[in-house]
Amino acid sequence: MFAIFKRELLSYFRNPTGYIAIALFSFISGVYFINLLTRGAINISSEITQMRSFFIIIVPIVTMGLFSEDRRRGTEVLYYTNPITLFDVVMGKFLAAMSLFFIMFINVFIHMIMTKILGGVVVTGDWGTVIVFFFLAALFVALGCFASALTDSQLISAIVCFVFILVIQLVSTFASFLETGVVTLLETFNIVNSETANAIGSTISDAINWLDPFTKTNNFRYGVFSVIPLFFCISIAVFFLYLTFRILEKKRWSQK
Amino acid sequence: MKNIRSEKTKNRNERAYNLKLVSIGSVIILLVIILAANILFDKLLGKALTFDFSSLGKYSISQTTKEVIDKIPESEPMRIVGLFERPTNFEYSIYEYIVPLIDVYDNYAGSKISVEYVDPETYPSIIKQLDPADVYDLKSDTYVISYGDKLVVVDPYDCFYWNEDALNLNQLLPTANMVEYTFTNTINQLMVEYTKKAYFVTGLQEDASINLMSILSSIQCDSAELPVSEGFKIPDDCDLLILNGINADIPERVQEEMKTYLSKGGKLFVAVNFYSNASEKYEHLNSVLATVNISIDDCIIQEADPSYVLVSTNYEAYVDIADEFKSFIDNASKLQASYARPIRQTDVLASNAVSYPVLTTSDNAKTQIVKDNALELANEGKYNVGMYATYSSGDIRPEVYVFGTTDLSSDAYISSYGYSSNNISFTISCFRNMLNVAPGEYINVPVGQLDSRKIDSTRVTATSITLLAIVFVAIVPLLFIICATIVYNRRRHL
Repeated sequence: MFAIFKRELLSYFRNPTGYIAIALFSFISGVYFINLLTRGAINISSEITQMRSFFIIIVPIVTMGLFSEDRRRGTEVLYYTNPITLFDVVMGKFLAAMSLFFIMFINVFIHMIMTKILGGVVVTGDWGTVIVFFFLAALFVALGCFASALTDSQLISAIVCFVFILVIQLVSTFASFLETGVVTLLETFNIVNSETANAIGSTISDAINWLDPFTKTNNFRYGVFSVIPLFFCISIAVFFLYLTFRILEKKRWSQK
Repeated sequence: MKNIRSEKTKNRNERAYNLKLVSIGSVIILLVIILAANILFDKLLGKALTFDFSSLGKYSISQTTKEVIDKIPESEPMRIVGLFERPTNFEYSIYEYIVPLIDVYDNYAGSKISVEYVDPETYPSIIKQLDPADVYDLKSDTYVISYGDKLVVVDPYDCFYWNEDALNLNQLLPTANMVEYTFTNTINQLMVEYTKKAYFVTGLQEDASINLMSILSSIQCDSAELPVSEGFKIPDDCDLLILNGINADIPERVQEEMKTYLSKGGKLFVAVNFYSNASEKYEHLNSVLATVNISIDDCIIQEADPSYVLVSTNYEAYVDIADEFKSFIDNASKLQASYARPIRQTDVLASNAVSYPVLTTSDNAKTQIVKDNALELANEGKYNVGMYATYSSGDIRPEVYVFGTTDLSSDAYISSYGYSSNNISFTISCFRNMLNVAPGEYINVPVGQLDSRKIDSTRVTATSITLLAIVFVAIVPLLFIICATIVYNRRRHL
C-alpha cells in the first residue's frame, strides 16, 4: 500500500494537478484570510467553513485522475498482475489524495500562526473546524475515488464527482423545498389538517437533513464536538471506498 | 470437444454470476450496516458523545438551568418555537449564542422540551396555533415558549445587553450575554401558577409591551390585551390595568369605564412620554386621573442641574426617588428618565383622594412647551416625573401609578438595560406593591460570555495588511502556478 501511496502522491507533483490544486486553495484561503484581517477580527473557523464550499471544485481536480487515468492508459492491468491487493490500491490512492489535502491545508495553519502573531485568538472551535474539514475531505475524496473508478475519462469522472458533491451541498435546500411542497400539497387538497401537514413536512425535512454532513458538523465550529457526525463521515467514506474496490474487482469476473 | 467448451463457458458464467451476486449483496449489506449503525449511534449515544469544548463552556447549561428543566413534568412538555427558519450560518450574528444553546436545552430535557423552528411567512398557521386568541401579536424572528395555555415571547435581541452609546449610532454592540439567564427564567416563570391578571389597553398607538408581560409573568401575573373597541369593558378578573407607552388619548367611552373601574378600587399603571406625541394633551385620560388628583402636563422636562444630566440635550437625566418609595429598591436613590412629561397634582382636588410624588427632578429643572411648532421655555423648578395616588379613607381604595417617562416600562429600555436594571426593578416593586404579591423569582443564572476575535490593532497597519495580501493572495499561489507550468512544459512530450 505504501508503494501505491508514494507513487500516487508523487504523481501529483509530476504533473500540474497538485500544484494547481494547492495554488487554488492557497489563493481562496488567502482571500478569505485577508478579508477577515481587514475587518479587524479573525475567525479561523469562518475561513475554514468557507473553504468547505470549494470542495466542489478542489475534490474533482484532485481525484479525477486517480483510477480513470490508469484505465485510459491501460496501466490498470498492473493492479491485477502485481502482488498487491485491490484494497491496497484503493487505500493507497485515497491516502495520497488526503495527503494532498493536508499539504494544501498548511496554508490555513500558517494563517492560524499569523492570527496568533497579530494578537488574535485561535479557540477550540477553530480546531473543531479543522477536524471536521478533514473528515469531510475524507468523505468527498472517497466519493471522488468512486467517480474516478467509474470511467476512463478524467473529464467525466470530474463531472460525476462535481454533481455528487453538489447534491450533497444542496441537501438542506432540497429538504426545505420538499418540506414546503409536501405541506402545501397536503393543505391545498385538505388531506390532513395544517398541524399534521406541518408535522409531516418537518419529519420529511428532518429525515433528509439527517443525511447532510454539513448540517451535522456545524456545531464543531462553536466548540461543541460530537463523535456521531465524524462516525457518519467516516462510515460513508468507507462505503464509497468499498464501492470503488468492488468496481475494480468487477474486472476479475466480469465478462465484458 | 464442443461439449467441454460449452461446459467451461457455462461454469465461467455461473462463477461470474455468483461473484456478481456476492458483490451486489455485500454492497447492500454494508449500506444497511452503515445506516443502522449511524441511526443507532445517533439515537443511543448522540448526547453521551457530545462534548462542549467551547471557550468558557458557552454552550453548556448551568446546574441551575438543569434543575429548572428537571422540574418540568413529563406529562406536560414545554414547547420552544423559533418563529423563523433555523439559521444554518449564524456567524457574526446573535444566533451564534442562541441556537446551539437551545439545542443543548433540547438535548438535556429530552421529551420535556421540544424545540422547533417554523417560519410564519411559510406557515402562517403556526401563529394561530400558538396564540389562538391573538393576544400576543406574535411576530417573526422571535422565540415563543409555550407551556399549557401560557405563552411568553422572547426576542433574541433581549437576550443581550447592548452598549447604549453604540445603539445611539445605530450599531449593535453586545456587552453581556444573557441567553441562558433569559430562557431559564422564562421557563421557570411559565411553571409558576398565575394568581393575578393584568390587562394592557391597546389601540392607542402604544409601544410594544412584550418585555413588560414577561416581567409580570415573573410575579405570577398573567397578561392579556384589552383593545379600545366599541364595547370596551374592563373584565371582572382585571387586577391591574396598564396603559404603557400610549401615544394617543383614550376615547370618551373608555374614560367613563375607567372612572367606574377606579371607583371600585381598581389598580392602574400609566406610562407616557413626550418623545413621540408632543402634541397630545391626554384630556380624557387626565379626566380619569383627576379623580385621584393627578394630571399629565403637555410639556417636556429639561434638567438643568449638571449632576443630574445624562445627555447634553438635558432631556435624559437622573430623577430622585421620593423618600416614601425608596424602600422599593435597594442601593439606589436615583433612576433614569428621558423625554419626560411633568406629572402634577390637579388644581382642583378631589376630597377623598390623596397623591404623592414618586420620582422628582432636581430643583433646577425646566419645562418646555410646544408653541408654533417650536419648544419654548416655560417655568423652572422641581417637577414630578412619577406620582402615586389612592383614596385617603374607606375600604375601597384604588391605586394609581402615573409616570411621565417610558423608561420604567418600555421594551426599548428593557432591551438596552435588562430586567435587573434599577428602573425595571423599581417598576416590578410598583407592580408587587399594587398587586400585593411576593417578590418575583428571577433565578440567578450565570451570565454567558461573548467571544472576541479582535486582533491587536497596534500590530495591524495598512502596510502590514497590504504586505500579507501580496504574500498570501499573489506570491504563494503564483509560485505554485509557475511550478505547474514548469512541470507541464517538461513532461508534455512524455
